Amino acid sequence: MRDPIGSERAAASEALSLEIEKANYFATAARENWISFVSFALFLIFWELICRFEIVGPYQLVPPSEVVTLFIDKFSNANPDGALLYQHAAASLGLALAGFLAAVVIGVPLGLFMGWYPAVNMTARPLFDAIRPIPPIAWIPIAILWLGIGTPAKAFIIFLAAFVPCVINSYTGIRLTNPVLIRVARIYGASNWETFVKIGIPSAIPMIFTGMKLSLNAAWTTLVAAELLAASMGLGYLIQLGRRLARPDIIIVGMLTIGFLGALMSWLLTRIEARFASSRRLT
Amino acid sequence: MKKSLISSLIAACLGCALASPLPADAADKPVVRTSAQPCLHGMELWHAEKAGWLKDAPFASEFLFFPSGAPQTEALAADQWDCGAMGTVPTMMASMRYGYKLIGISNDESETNDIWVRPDSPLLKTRGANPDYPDIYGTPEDWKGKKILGPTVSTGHYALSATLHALGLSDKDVDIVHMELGQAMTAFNAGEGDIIVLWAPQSYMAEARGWKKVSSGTAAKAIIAGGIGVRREFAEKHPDLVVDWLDVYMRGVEMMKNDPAGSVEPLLSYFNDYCGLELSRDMVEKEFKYRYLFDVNEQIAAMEDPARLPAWLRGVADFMLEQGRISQKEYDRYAQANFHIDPSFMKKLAERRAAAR
Repeated sequence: MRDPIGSERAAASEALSLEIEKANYFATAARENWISFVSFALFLIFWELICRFEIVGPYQLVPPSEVVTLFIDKFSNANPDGALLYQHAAASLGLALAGFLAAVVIGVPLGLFMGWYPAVNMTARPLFDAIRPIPPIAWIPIAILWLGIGTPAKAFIIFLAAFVPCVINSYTGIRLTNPVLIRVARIYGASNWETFVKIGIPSAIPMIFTGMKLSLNAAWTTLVAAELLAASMGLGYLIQLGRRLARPDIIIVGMLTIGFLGALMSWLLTRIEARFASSRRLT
Repeated sequence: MKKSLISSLIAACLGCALASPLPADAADKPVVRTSAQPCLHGMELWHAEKAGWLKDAPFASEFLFFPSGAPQTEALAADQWDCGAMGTVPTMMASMRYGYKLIGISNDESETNDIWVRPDSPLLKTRGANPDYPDIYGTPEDWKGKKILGPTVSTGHYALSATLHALGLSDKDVDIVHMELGQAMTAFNAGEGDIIVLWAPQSYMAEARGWKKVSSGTAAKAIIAGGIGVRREFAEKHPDLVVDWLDVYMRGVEMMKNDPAGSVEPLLSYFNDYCGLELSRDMVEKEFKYRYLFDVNEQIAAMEDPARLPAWLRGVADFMLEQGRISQKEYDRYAQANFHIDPSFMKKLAERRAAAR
């Protein structure tokens, strides 16, 4: 016979332990956030002090307070680089996204097909292996000849950098599909294509997202090189101009903006991944 | 066995160290780190070493090569070199930011900062639309809206802006796309852009490809003087060494000025063997045709005459101010410091040479 009081107690005890676990989680997270905040603040104070006491020269490094002042100023002042900060950021964001999306659209399916179909792997692999080690910057002259000096050429340089992690991770992800699941699918009469779509791709999703995050990083890190090609606006151009004018404050503002936008996009991708994973769990 | 192997290795290392090519007397001399670019004004100290001029000099030279002015200026800020030569814009930036002293004029490069079009360009139909500027091609209407490739914030850009001013236009009337020289040439060759901004020796390559010159610093009456300079701290600590270094540098300048035919071979070797360019003899001969070189007395006169070097630098500073690249405060400070021109080293050199005579 069921003991109603006992099961009530058990439920209450379980709820309590869950509450305690939750409280512990938030306390740990708060402590970790606090530690991160303090370490970041200490870093900024250290940076400010070494500049204020001229341990490093004013033209080698500028204090963070000046960087913040310039950052704010660049929202309303186009000098000395000829554009406002949001215009540079928008130009670079468009470029990075164009290269990144092209890499995802082409690289992920290619990696999946290479991992699943040996014939595709044998066909594409030699070319991929030959292209993979070439630094994207080495493609600049070829990109000019093929695509001119506009956005397609710059996006192509970024695409080349972002493409490789997409292919490798998708390939590895699908190669790691549990063979038991594949066998079960086949026993139940699934075709190779059905097994690929319903078993292979879903099991590769975590690796695909990791590849996309790596691609996103590669896209942002290649931005300056891509804007070396030709530019009159963009964060890479801002950094180059800061270099020509011997203005480290401009260079740092460009770098931090790239860092901020890259982190923001990476965070967004993580959110999309989490949402995707939870929706898959529900189904 | 193991011991003997280690001993042999140590002996081999010692042997290599003892057999190093640095002569004993060179090792005793103070080192002056010279910076240079793949330009005529970078050749002097490189050639001095090859020609053995440094044997009797009271310093040893360490030659540092930079592809352009921006990394050269950064290396100056990091105290990586002492004396050298750069274009006007990096010289100006180095002076404004780091107090870099301008101690001489490497050459007048007004003619070699130039603007080119393809042979079918409509600009070539009209010459001297403004009679005050007879060597500029094209009417203002021809120039309007054209896509121009080249490095911005450079002496080439200064020549371009002066050209546009001469035609009653400004940078806003055209589409300037910032590109480094090599990439701009590749793009222009592939049919991109309508006009390209270059400087020598790339200008000679443009001429060899059949492109046509439509303006230059000279045509637009913008005088562009390349600078010889020294890091401020080095000049303060070792003024005599700066004069010694300048003596060798000026020997190179005077060799090119007085014997251009005999200087073609060393300059060709510098460009092709050292800098990795591919220039022909004809191209290098043009270096001496287009670039005016100043001897010691001419240098002093130009530096001390407010209507010459200070006025030329003011022109470039005005351009930078107008473009919004420098602030009014920076401009005023720079002008107040007389553009960091310091003729004292050149004067000491003149005195020393007079005494030796």
